[in-house]
Amino acid sequence: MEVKAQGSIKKTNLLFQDIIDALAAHDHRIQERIYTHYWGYLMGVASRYIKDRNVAKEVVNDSFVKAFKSMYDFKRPDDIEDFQKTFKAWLAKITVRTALDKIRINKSPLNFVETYENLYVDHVEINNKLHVDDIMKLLYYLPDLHRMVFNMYEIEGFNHEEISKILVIPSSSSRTYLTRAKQRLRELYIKTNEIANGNSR
Amino acid sequence: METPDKKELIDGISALLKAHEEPYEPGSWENFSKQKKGKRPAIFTWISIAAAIALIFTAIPFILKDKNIEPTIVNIDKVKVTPLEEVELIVKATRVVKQKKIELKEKNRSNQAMNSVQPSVNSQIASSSNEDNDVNPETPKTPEQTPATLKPVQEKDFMKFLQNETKVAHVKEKKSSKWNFGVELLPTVLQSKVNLGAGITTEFRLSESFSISSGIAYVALDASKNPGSNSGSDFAPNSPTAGLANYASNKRLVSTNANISGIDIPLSLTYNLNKKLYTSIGVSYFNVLTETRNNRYITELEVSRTHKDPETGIMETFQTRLAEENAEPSPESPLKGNSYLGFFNLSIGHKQEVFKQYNIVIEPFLKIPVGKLSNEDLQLSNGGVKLRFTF
Repeated sequence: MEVKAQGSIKKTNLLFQDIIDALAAHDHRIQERIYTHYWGYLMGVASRYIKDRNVAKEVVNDSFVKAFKSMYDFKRPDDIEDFQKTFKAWLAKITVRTALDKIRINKSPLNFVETYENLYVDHVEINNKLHVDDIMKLLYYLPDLHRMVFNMYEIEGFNHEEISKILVIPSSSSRTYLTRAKQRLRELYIKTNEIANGNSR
Repeated sequence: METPDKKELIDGISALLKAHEEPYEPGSWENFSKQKKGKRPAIFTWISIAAAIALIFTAIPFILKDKNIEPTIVNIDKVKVTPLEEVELIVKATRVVKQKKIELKEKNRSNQAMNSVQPSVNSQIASSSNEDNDVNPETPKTPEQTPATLKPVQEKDFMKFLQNETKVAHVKEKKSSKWNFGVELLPTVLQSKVNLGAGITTEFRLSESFSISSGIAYVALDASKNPGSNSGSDFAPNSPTAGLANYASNKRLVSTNANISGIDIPLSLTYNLNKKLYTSIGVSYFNVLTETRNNRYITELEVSRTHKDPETGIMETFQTRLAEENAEPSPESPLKGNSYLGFFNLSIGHKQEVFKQYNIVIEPFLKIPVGKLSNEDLQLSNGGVKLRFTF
């Protein structure tokens, strides 16, 4: 296993060395490798914001168009690992913004539906292993604005000030939506567990 | 895709989704590159055509004003060859100059100055880290939240880009409403005469690049026509007060002036070349409200008078020509009430943002009459500069 992992790291480093060299040389042929390497990751990002898979694919493609226009401005880094992290995070942020723009175009303004029960749960431990498909279903139950704030804060690492600017909401609302989103996810998780346990009995 | 047990749910979700990647779908790159190749030429062709037409027709009224036909042809040819390249070169040159200015500034700054800039750039990251610690201390930090691990120059460039991205996002947010409204003033040049109009406009954004605009404007046009030939002559015999006399009058129409006021309702398709510059093409319905015409005549009188000298008994004839200029209102108003009048509109505009949410727009335009108007004897092609305030 270790040998396999080391081989994978070497391969990734080679890819990034190629990317760095290609950016310096303004070589457009590298775009295909970047696209195929990050497509899955960016689809994961876009799918958190947009349920429709075809629209999510459009968002990913639009994000790559933006990225390919600007990536040649990156200066040659000394450390491959730093570059790898920075580049990945940069692509993710472009995708998030593109997804938000897409949502705005399709339904403006961002809708907010208050459908929460008064059950307050602040800590829930995971009993079973989590699966992405199950979690995505829970996320899609959240109102758009709550889901966006949750994704942006908890997964993408934006702070509330940034979120408030991007979504044009007060930062206090961003905090409230985050709390409610977390609460709702916990409630939904408990409920789905109860249903699953009931069925298994 | 699975997380260890006994973790708090939100932390578990966060870790799971951060690590999540979908498998690559074969053929995605091929579709992507096809789309890129397929879209670009059409867009660029359209931009070229729109920019060329707009530039050509914007230049025509200024050239016509000088009454110099020869250079018009030359200028049209020039514009046709390189309209888009010029715009692109200007944009590129501006970028290069800006970039060089920034580089020079950075070189001249001391390290201290660099440090004073850097915290402001990264202040959001610092606050982001604090926020994370307050609410969710176990959340792993994203690469942007750990700037200490990056080289300053590289980090600076990266943050600059992200900040620009944010600015772009803000502009879009402000314009997230698809409707824009505005008021406009229309100084119009028609045959060297300046007329004024005013109106309100509305714009509906179809996409980032295209929008449809309409509105309603009150336009006053002061048009004239020089026929350049005799329009008619009248001969009227009359009896002089004394002796035997004849006169022949020749009434010549020198010019016709028409004051037309009406409501112009345009419908235009606008293409945004960039955030500030756009071109527009469209038609407008023109409903004539009032039309007053004044005809200016020169009346030439050829007078002959014959009388008999009482002493000698010889008949003498005196001939003279009298010219008299006079104007009289014409009862005709052929344009008024016509419901199929219109203009073909071309324009190119420049937007300047003021007070963050408003725009001042300067839009040189050209209006060419179509339908009934084009057949009229009056030359109604006009051009000018729209001054618009949008909100």
